[in-house]
Amino acid sequence: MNEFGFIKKRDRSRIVAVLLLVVMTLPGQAFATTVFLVSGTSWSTPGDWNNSNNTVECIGSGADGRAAAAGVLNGGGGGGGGAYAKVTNLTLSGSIAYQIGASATTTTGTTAAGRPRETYFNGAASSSASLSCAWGRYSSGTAGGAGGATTASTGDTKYAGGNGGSANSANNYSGGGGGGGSAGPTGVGKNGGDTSGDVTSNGGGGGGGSNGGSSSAGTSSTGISGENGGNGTSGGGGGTAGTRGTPPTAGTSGGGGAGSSGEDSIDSYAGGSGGCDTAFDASYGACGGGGGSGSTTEASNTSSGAGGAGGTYGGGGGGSGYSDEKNGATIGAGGAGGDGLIVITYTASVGGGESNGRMIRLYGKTRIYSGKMRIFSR
Amino acid sequence: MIRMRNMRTMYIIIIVLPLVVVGAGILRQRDVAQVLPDVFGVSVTGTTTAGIPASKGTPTSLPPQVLSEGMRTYKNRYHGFELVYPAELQVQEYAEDDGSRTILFESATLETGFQIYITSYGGTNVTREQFLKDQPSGVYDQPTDIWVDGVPAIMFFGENSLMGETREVWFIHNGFLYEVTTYKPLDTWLGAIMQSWKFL
Repeated sequence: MNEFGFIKKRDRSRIVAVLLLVVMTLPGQAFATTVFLVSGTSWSTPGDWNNSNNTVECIGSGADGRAAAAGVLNGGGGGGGGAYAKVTNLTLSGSIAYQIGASATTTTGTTAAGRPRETYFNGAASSSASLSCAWGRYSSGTAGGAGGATTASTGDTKYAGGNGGSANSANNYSGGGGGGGSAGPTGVGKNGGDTSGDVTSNGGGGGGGSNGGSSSAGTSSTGISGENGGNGTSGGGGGTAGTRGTPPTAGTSGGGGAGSSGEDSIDSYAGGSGGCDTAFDASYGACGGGGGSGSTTEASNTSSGAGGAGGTYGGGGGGSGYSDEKNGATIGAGGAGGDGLIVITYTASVGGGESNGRMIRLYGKTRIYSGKMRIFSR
Repeated sequence: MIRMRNMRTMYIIIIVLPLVVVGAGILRQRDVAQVLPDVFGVSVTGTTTAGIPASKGTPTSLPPQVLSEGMRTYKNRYHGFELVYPAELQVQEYAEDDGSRTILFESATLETGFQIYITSYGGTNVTREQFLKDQPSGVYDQPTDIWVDGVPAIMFFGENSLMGETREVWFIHNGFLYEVTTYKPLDTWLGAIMQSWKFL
């Protein structure tokens, strides 16, 4: 620079060269495409698939909650939540086989007709797939079902699902256990709340929160009222417990649904449903367990409500509470567990990020269909 | 002498061929310009743009179709709609890298299917610019005004280089442009599915 503040021509050239170097070494802005698989069995690798910049994640299915057994004085256990797993930079081409697990409704069997348990990607079976997420187990009775285990999952990163809460098995009119929360990209799913049932009617346990972080387990019920659902990964979202005559609320933001209260003159309410967070997208995330339903007093001729449904992806369902089943009274069903989910994220090998017009995804065609006519096909 | 003739032929190829290609492109654009209106009649208010109607006549509902058994319901919580589709189709949802979304309904054999492309759209009509962006061929054949669960939509036959001839149903709802696409021979099949479309 000279005495007048102007940059000399030679210096200017140097500055331009340095600026050019900086611009050239700045990383390009990356834009990712995300694919959500919730049904089906095969996926066509897109033409712009990038073997060097992708992740595939999954959440295993949760289990249904167990209905209280007829003729005994106990509630049913909650279903386990699904596990989470993730792999990075898979090399893929052509048609990729996968499976989406449905909620477990029995303690055995992995391939029940129409309701496969396992969620996996890139393989003919979970044992040979590049990625698999274990499903939450169904309760064997009063004991809660186990959450999907990391040892039964495949991936670079793995987190276990939360266990379902257990109902007291000491023949004392217990409510249903809360469902376990699903694991997610931030961490493990939390356990559903237990029930102790040492009262004439007992509240249901809260569903477990999901996805690690600041999530929490569902609260266990030791009295008549239901209990709160556990919070989701952000530390909120747990459902609010039901009290006599007042239903529990559903979880939000990955929180567990709350348990309903025990009742002595009316039917008990259903447990609250588990909520889902937005870990992957506004519509897809990890989900909390459903709350258990409260029991009803012996000889009250009242029915127990259904267990709360687990959140849509991987949440375990809540168990239902005891009912005397007299004069038309019935035992509520166990809450349905959430299904499995596969999430594929990749940054296109070429271009991307601009609003170039519509994508044609039919018949394995990919993008990019626009005035620029950057076309990739299978 | 022969060498000079070859040189001349080569010069002719170098100069004339690009001119022919460019000329064909211009003619193609002219064809598109003659066919396409400036603004399309898909309006959020349900009225077509004065003087530039997209198609003749007032919007009509799709003819009633009986959906057979073996159907499933797809529900989209984010955009707030649902539809009934054949159970044998796989549903795959793409969050595209530009913020738009493509929902694919397709059989395992890839022979049957349709897709819903949804993109954020501030306008109340589909402009010519937007149309050409999503449908570069400019093909806009036999446009018909219809309703999709009370929302005015335009149905037409289109074409793109990946699929060939297509059946298209486009409409705007709550700040989003929806473009439903299938292969032309599946026109009636798609019509039955669109009959089940409900905004939640």
